[in-house]
Amino acid sequence: MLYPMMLLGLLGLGIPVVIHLINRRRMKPQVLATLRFLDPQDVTNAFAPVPRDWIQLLLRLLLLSIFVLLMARLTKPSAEVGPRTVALVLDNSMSMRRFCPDGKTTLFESHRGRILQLVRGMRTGDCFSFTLVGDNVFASTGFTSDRTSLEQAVTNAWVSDGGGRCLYTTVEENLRELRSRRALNMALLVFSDQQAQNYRAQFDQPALAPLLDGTSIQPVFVLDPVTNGANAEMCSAEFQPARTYPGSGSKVSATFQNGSDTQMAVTVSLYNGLSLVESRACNVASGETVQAEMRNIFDSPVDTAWKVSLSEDAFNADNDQYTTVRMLKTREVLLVTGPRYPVPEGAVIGDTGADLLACAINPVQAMGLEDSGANIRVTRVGFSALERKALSLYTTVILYGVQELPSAEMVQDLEMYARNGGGLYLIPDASNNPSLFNETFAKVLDGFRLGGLREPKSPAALDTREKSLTDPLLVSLLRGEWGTVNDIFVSRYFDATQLGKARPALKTADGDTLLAMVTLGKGHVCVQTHSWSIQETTMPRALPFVSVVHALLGRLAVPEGEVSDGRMDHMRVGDYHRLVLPLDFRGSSNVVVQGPRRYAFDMPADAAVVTLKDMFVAGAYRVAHTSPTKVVKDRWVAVNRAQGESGQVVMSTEQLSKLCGGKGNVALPSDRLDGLFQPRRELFPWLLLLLFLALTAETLGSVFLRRKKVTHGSTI
Amino acid sequence: MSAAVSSGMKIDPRLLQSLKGVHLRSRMLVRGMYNNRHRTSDFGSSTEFIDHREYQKGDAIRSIDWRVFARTDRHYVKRHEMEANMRVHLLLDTSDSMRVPPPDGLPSKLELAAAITGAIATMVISQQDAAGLCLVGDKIEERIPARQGMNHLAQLFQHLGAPRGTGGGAFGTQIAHLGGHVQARGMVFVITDALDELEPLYKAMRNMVARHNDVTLLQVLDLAEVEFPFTRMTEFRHPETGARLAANPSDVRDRYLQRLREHQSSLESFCRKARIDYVPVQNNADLMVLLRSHFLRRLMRRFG
Repeated sequence: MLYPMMLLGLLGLGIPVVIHLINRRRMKPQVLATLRFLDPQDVTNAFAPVPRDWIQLLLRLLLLSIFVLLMARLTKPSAEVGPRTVALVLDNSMSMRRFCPDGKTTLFESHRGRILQLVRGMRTGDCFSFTLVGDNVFASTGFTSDRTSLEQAVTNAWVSDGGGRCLYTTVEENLRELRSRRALNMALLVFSDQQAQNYRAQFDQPALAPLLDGTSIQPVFVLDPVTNGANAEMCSAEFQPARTYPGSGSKVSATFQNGSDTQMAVTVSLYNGLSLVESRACNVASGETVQAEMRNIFDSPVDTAWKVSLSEDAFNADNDQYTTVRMLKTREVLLVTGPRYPVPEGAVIGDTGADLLACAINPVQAMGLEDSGANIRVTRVGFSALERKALSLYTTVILYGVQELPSAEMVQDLEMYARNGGGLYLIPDASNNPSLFNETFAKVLDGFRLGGLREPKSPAALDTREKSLTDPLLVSLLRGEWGTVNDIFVSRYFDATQLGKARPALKTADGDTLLAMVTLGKGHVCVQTHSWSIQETTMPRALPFVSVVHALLGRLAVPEGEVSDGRMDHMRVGDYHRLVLPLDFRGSSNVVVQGPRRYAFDMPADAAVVTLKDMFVAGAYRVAHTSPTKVVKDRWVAVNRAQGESGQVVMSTEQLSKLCGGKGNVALPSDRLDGLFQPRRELFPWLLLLLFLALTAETLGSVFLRRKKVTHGSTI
Repeated sequence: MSAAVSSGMKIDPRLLQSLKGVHLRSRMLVRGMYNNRHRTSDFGSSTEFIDHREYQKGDAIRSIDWRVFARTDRHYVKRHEMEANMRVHLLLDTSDSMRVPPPDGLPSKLELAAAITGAIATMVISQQDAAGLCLVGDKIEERIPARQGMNHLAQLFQHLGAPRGTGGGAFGTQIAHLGGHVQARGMVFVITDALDELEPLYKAMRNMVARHNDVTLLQVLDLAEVEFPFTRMTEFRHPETGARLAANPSDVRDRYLQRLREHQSSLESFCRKARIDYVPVQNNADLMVLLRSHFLRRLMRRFG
């Protein structure tokens, strides 16, 4: 009996009896002037049983009883198993790639084959559902008797590189669905490696018991053995730096761990696409974590995707990590000097601040030597030549000792240049008039104002307290990472009378601002209150000078809002990842992400940003524009597998039993599923027939008796 | 002829129209105060010769038939019929048994009886005769002497619009007590359901007939009383006595209908013997057909 509680409905048998009695007792009052013609002797038998009523009552009781039994879903023993309702859940997490003891097929393939057997063995009346689940529900057929669609869904099942985040939720949902169906032979078959982390929150409590109570659902967690050989897991592999210039080098740091009980000889290989670049072998003790570093020089300006792979072991799925390297363009710096600084000819290097600055930026170029591989180039021009320069060609414009511009439009050009992502570096010298400087550059200073020139009696040291700065640009300098700062002094500088929206990045020990950063639109403006002249500061002679200059230029070259994190092109399978694309991508309705699988994602019309999601296969993916006519530089995205799938912490039989509220036989190997169902059948068709007959009898009886009544009346 | 007179009851004008031209004549000699077309038992001055009688002192000289005197040498006077108007008495039962709620869409017995009474009164007044009304409940509720004229008709209608009366059970006894109020040699319409004891009613009607009244009994019954259409267990209550009786209709119907038929037969038999017109009426009857055919049948019987 599938619904024993339905037998309570038999209490309803009292209803027709009560109605019958009420009908007999409740008399309709009727005024009758001819009462004297009613014979009291006849009336004495008014409450005598009427056979018609009794028959009607019995038929109604029979009807109700059959209906209740029908609702209770009576069953009877049978020679064969009756119709089955089975929910099949197949885990497609990465851990299902483990090999079975035969060493040839993976656990996923084995389970998929077993499910196919079950589906192909469906009989008439059977109703199966199939759900492919991992970090997401990838396929769900719902309960159906259509064997073809189920076979197709099972055949198309694939294994992901993600985890099994949704496995337990899917088990719950399937139990709820089965609970609502209430069929005779119901079972939930969970084909998984039953990793404990997928049941982490529930494995020590009977979380599924409420869903199983009062039902005949048989939950079965299929537990098949897997090979348990030596295995090393690639934990991480990443190039540092992840953005580099052509001709520069970068190193990949690969971290891997031997999770097995025995020592392993592991070979780490670095692949660029399919070609092996470097390989290294090492012995890794049990439980040991190793970091291997491999260097590579990047000659091509094209972005590349890389794979760091371990040699084959018992579980190959966790051997690979993907990473990308993005190539940076050569930075072009325009150094504009004031009238006091003539542009040097050839290899002549002066000792002015402008010369020292140019030398710090690119000493090889400053000395007039051939420099083909430099990633930064300086173009030095005089103040009057600024008008003839196309600012958009330069990543940074340095105005050294410039207090006025050739034309008013030039300031507007500089402002627009900065707002569109360019970097502007303003360095006044002692000869500049601060009022004139403020007036000229008011539009780009955003409230910052220079005051009068200060010459302290003793040169001012730098304030090394990081708390006093609101821009962390030169924190490394203050921490001494680039060299000591104790010998850096400033003897002459302009007072910053008004900071406006500028953020101080360097201060004297007295609290006077030496360097401030202003964000203007997408770009930055850096204002220095002193020049790099050796009469004004000892910085050019100090060790950190070059680092300071490059840090400044590095900041000014990166437009505001662009992610500078080294992991910007890396994501985990199943995660959401917001990828900032070059502006060339703008105007495309979607982008194509091509790798082990192909995806297409919508891109907002006005932004070159795309959100990558629902990618569950690890690999290096090329992000390309959909338009074949548009030439843009492709981006690479490294999608890496889920972590934590390498461990083999599997739910025990006792834990699974406890999860199901102490129910027995919940953990079975896949070859013992055949004897799962009881050989019983429902009495549904017979009860339905009986119900129909009783209903017909009741209807016919009513019609017949009613007709008789009418005939009787018409004879008066 | 108007459908409604004054502010009393209203009668379907088609009913009055159907009765127009149908003369109400008594089968007996009447006695009236005013000249009209009805034959009376008295001698009068109409052109209708009856017989001769010997001249008596005080007779008018002009009434002597001189031709007979010439043949017989004795004085005889000619006697002619007298024609007078007719007094019609309408005795309406207004007891509670007449007020039983009717089946849906049908008039109650009292409404039907009032309509019949009103129609007859209109008919009588319109042929220049006098109509009187007596409403009888458990006592004589209203007694309006027979008179002529439209004002009198309006008064009758007023009373018929809301006929007074409660109780009941002694209609026969009550109308017997009317005695001299129902004058001799007239027409009497007894309109009742005649469901009480019949003997007092018989007695009263016999007395009326003995006083040379042309009596008509209009028995008004409810359709439910005649057909007894009840099916479910029912508690029957008598409207006048309040007596209750719970019965399964299907069990008692046959016997009930048999008794009712016996009752009707008895009534009909009595009326036939007593030369009383008996008209059974049910509240689903078409009055236009029923009354017109009845009065025409009376006329034909008189002249046939």
